[in-house]
Amino acid sequence: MRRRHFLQLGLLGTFGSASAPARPRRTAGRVLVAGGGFAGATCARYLRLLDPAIDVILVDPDTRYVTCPMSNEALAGLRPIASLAVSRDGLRRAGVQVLRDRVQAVEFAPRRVRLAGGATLTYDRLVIAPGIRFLWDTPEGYDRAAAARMPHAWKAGTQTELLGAQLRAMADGGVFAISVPRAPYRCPHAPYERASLLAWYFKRHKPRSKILIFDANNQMPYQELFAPAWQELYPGMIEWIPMTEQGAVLRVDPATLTLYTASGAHRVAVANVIPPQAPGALARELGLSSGRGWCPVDPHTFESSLAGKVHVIGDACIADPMPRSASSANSQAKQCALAIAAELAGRAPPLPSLHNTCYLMMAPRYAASTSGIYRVGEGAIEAVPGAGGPSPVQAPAALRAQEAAYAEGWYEGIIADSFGAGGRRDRG
Amino acid sequence: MAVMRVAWIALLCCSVLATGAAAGADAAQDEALALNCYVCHAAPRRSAIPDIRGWTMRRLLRRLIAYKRDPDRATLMSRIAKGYSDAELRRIAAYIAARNLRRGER
Repeated sequence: MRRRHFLQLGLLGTFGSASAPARPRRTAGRVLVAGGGFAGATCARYLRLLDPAIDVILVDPDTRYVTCPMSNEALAGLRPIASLAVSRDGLRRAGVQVLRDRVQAVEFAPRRVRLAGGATLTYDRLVIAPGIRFLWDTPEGYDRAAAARMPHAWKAGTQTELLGAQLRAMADGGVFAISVPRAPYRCPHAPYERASLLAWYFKRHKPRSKILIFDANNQMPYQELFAPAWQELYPGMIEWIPMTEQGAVLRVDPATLTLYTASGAHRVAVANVIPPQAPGALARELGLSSGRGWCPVDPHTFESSLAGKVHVIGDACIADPMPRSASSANSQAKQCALAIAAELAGRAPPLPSLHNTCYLMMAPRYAASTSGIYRVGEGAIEAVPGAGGPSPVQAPAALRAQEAAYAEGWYEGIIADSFGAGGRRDRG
Repeated sequence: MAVMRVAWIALLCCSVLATGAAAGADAAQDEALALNCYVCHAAPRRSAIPDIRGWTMRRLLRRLIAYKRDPDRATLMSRIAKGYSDAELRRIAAYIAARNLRRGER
């Protein structure tokens, strides 16, 4: 109570350069988390669970978070888009101070952050969880305005609603195109899951429609699972055009909904153009990304290789071979929280044990899973050999149905674990 | 019987909650291994995924070892359990059991 009162005083005051507030007594330190997606929320929440003496402040401009997981189900009409929204209530309940604001500038040496709203805050550790930003104008002509005509729906929310509305308005017999950017991008299997679930939707409502996947890659993740499922469930409906078959979209014309590849012009009824991606803008502004674009970190602590006492977690960081997924972000955030809590208490961080589980939905009662267990060896993250991997290619329908039920449970679980129970869904 | 169980449980709690730098480091290592479980096993309401709140160490460990030894990789847990040594699975089971007791649930 005293701490909260103190913080409010600090934020309401005027902020000169020397006005960073003194810390309340008996605090183990202050951690500022920028970004309230799966990575940032999990880190903030677990810091509080691990050591209630740590002051945790989460800064995010949005009052709620709309999850990408399950957004393909929403596009297919299998759940309301509103059900993907998570409030900050669960984080507040865990004792996280949630500020609706944006980090504007950071001074690494005095460990001080200035927020867009004008407040200045000092920190012992800064955690950056900015997610992704889009690299606009790739393909040529795909800018923010084009995204209003050809939605990416790769950050959930209004874009998901827009694409969903276009798909519902599409006439039977129309062509729906998905343009997949060159890897790495957020959630590697999701374009193919999206094709699967929309094929399910078309088969029920618009059975003469087709789906074309224009792919800038030559490998489809889990093709051994997707291809037979498509053959079995949606024969002839989905066509995958890999890079070597001129699948890469080079240019778009949003006015006529036309995609241009090396093989020619493809005019479609609905175009879902997923642009290439890089770490969220804050990572670049703070100079935390390397030449290759993503953010290098020490995998023991997720501390940036480019700035001390600053950690980068989630999609923005380089954690290969972990995929960029909500589950990877959750696991990285826990290790980051454990490392920060240990170091603030003067102990060495524990050895990392990282994990990822993703579900691949192919129809409402038809899913597969993939997982990985990761350790750090020789300074890099490595998958534990013999563990993890995808569901078997040959499996009875009962197993696929069971995994679909697990996928629902996975979603409920990761929301509760990342955002706290009670953070679930805005009413209505 | 019940008394035995309580004593066993109290011992577990002590081992996890013990103070001192070494014990603190051990506890953090247990957490680094076990907290990953809660990404799935944390749902506030009933789901298809088993609710491990209230499970004892013995029950947790028996299941984890069975998954690890299962040559069939159909179930996700059989693929996950293969990523840990038996000693690590023991630490995970002990941590979750102790946490269940500390919280009365999760």
